[in-house]
Amino acid sequence: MNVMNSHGPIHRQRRRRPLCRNPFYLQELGLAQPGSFQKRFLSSRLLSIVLDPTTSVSREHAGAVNTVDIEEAEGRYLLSGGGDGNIHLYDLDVSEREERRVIHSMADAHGSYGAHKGGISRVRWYPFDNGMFTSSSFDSSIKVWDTNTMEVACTFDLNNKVYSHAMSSKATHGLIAAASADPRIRLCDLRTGAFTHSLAGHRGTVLTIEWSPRHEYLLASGSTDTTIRLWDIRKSTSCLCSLDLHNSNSPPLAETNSAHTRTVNGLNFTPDGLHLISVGHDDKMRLWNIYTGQNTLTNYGTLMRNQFVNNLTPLISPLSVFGGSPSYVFQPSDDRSILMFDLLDGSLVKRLKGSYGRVIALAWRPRTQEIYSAGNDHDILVWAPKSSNQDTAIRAIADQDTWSDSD
Amino acid sequence: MAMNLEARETLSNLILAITKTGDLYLDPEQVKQVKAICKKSDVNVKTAYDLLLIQLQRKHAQIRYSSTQLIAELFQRSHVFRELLVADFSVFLQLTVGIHQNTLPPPILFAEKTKQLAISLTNEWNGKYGAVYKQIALGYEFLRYHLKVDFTNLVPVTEEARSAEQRAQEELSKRIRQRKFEKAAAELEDQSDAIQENLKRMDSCFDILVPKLDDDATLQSIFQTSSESVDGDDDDDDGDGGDEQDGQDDGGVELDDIENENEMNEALIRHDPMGIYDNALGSSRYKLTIEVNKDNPVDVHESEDNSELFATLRECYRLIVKKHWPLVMDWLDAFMKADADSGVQRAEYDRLLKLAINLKKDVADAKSKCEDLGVNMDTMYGPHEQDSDEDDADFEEVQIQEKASDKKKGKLPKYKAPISEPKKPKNAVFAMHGAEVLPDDPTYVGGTRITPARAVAISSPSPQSEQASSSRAASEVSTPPAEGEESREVLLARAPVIPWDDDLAVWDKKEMAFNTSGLEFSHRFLGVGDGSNLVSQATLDRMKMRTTIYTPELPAVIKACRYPMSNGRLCMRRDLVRCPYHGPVVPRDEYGQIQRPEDEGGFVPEEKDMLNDEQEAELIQRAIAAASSSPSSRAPKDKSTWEDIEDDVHLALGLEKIEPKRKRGAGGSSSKKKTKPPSALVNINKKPDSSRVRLLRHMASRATRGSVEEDQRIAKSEQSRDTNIHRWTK
Repeated sequence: MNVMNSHGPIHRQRRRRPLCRNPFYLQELGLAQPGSFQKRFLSSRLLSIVLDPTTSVSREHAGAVNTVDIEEAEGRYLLSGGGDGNIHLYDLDVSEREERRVIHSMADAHGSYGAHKGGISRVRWYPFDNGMFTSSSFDSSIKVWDTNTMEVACTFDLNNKVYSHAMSSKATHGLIAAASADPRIRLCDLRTGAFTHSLAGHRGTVLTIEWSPRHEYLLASGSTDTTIRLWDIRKSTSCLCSLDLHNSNSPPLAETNSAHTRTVNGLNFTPDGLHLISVGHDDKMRLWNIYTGQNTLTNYGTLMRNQFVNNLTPLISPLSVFGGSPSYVFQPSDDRSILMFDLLDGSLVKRLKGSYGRVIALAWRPRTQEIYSAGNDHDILVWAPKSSNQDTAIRAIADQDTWSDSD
Repeated sequence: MAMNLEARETLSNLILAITKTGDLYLDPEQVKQVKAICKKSDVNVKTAYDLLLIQLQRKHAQIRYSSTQLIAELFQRSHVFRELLVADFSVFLQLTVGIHQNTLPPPILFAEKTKQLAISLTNEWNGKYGAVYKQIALGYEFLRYHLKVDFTNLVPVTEEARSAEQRAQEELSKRIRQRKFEKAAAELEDQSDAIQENLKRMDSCFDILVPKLDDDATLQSIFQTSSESVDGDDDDDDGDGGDEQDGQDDGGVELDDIENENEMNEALIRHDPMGIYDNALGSSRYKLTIEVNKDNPVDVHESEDNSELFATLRECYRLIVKKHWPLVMDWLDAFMKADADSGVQRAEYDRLLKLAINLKKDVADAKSKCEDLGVNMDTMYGPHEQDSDEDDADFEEVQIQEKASDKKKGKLPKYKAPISEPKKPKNAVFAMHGAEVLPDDPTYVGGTRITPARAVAISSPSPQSEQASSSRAASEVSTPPAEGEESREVLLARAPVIPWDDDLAVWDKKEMAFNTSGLEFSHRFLGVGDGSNLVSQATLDRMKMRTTIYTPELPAVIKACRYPMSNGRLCMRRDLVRCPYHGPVVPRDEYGQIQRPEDEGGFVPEEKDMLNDEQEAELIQRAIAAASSSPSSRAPKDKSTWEDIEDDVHLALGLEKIEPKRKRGAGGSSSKKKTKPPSALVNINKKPDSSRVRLLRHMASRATRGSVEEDQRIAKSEQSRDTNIHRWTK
């Protein structure tokens, strides 16, 4: 023990002080971890994220944009669903080399047979390819769309307002979990086009629902009854536990358990599936450990404002795969800004201001580290890391001070 | 990043002072100081931004307005300030435009102004920085799309935008001029031949019609005619006389060159309005003047022989008047306005200009020649007034007069009515009250001129018509024609000519009978004579008075105020002495700065020259003197306009200022008010004086309350008395 203590620092010192500090050289020598280089670069880019002055998405929706999603297969196509009941599809790579580009909608669901009659609450790409996407709407239906023809392939009628739905990116079961005004969670089977079974347990409207990216049958849902429930859909008594913010020793399904003091309207798993983050109308964000089902008691501060009854999913930057690196969570706030927190220690990193509408949904584009935000000002905004190769001529005008000599 | 505390302190004080004045315009001196401090370091800019944002959040529109103006100043200058403001741009718009369900605080007027200013600023900033600062572009879009703000026709508020607009305007007008020039040049090239052709045609007509003076034979013939005309039988001479008379009757409309002749003729006409002297030569005391007939100086008349020529001339004249003349003038106009700068163009430009000037001269020549020949605007569609030579033989005298009147008619374009042109007095002492409406009055005959035709119909100068004509010229009413001509002329020269009024009927009467018969001793209106048939002296004196209504003569050109306003324009108000917004009207240069500010008070001479109006100059001088002694006009006072100029008027008229009656015990408070720092901030805490508030105040007053209680008491006692009355008592 003594020896270890005396030698440890020396040993570490030698390891930590290589001859050269050039990261390229370090990587070449194999001294740096494989992911560290990428991690370093990405985190510096993330920290410099601002409203992208050169890219804009044209305003297509006639109402608030309720949801946006970018497919994972290529990271190229963006779906947006609006309060006007329309769904638009954008190609984000279009005219990428242009100095000042505007991304126009390449297709929309307007006028197609069987389109939604109410506002869209959530659109989601099929996790495995971009030939299909699903949408849920306040007209109490979930529809499955063929992307190429922009036509409805299948409709599930739930008889209640649908606030959200989810498909597992892991599983092969092809089930869509639907969160609706009905306290029961309905599972829609894509293979048969019918409902399989319902998960009963909530006592209020279910506003948010997510599949775990690690376990294919694990489902998490949040409701107006202030609880977050974890489900194993295979079990007959399917509810595993209801999360408790006080970490009390009560049984996992106790009535007294509540995850927030008020309605829970946002849930998201970290990409590794080890943690769950939740937001509620008590203006709080909480981080839960999925293995223990305990509140990690991370304090995200009191800056967040969240009072609207809609699905408001926090966005987690998928950086945690590089182990130990800081990963960030982006959470829209009702004061028209997006708050960027450090996921694990809860400190506010940055506040993204600039939107003129309340931000309702966020989408992450991994390839370029861009965030697309949808707001109730009918706009989709692009937030991108500050690039160095901006239009320097215009920049110069803005950068110069023009004090007149007489002053 | 330690900031100089002193600088911070001054900055804070300055910004507070600037934003709390509540004025429409910032004090340039203070703004300059703020800029000087901010220029020193970026930390100061940051401090200024923080302070301004605090001020912007105050719940008072005037403070917000001033803050917005100052923000605009700094935004334009500092990059750091721009970065800071852009980061909070939605907050800025919330506080100034009131987006996101924010309402602007009272007073409403300033809230509206703040909103307009912020919208204009957003528009301009978007134009300049929108590409770099996405928030500004988004804010602009938000205002346009969600608030439906109309960004067109905004008044530029920042200097840069103003100058840019000016430049664009100049560019545009220059381009328009250039285009006009090119068009005119093309037209000139195109049409000059046609015009020349027309002119040539006319020239040949002139050659035929008008004898050339270099020809002996024609000269001879001309002299012969003129010798004939001495005999007084000739048309020309007679027409001349008639013409002369016309000129006199016009009362100075036409200017005659020789004064002596003028008067002599006038006298002649007075005695003989019908022109007996001219025609019948009734007296040997006459003088013949031969003048070239203005209407027909070349003495060429249309006849059967030359009717073809005249027809051609008319046609050409029509062409000239209708088409060529305006065209040529347009070209000239375009050439004059266009500015040729490059060398190659210069030569071309000069050539075209020369060509156009020559053309204009030629066309004008031809036109005037035509008019000399009697082809003018009225006769260019053919001789609608026949010369009627056959009448000449029968009634020669009559014909002369008529002809004269015909020609007169020809001179007045589009005025076909032969009579009823009101006669204006030559040197009027008093303009007659309501003179301009009189001609419309059917009962009014005073100013109308009796036409010679009518006079002829009357056949002889009867005393009645004499009287009618004499009533116009008041000076000759009682002057008998038997008096010496010379003395009469001298008198006439001295005599004032005043318009007709009732007093002229009696102005020279020492006494007046009640009626012509001399039998009446009283009159309904003129009263009772004191024992005689004469009107009493007092009444007669009263009858000699006349009422005139003085209308102050306004200067022809009222100067604009030209105070530089916040929107970059100059104040367009035209006031005699003082602009209600910007104080006394003083001469200013093109930027609206007061000329020669060092002697602002004593300045006038240039003004005097320009205005050419002694009275007004004096007035202005007085006003300026008054203004220089009064406090600066910058700070708008909460006074109504008449109170605003009251002091000046009193000073100008040399009157003492009327002190308003002080309320009891208000003496101290008024002096206290003066010592308070001047601020135009409106007290927004004061509740508006609504009818409800007034009623409540009335209800709460002690007197009202007392009377209500009294009423209740009386009602109660009456009720009890009634119950007592109706109670059955045993």
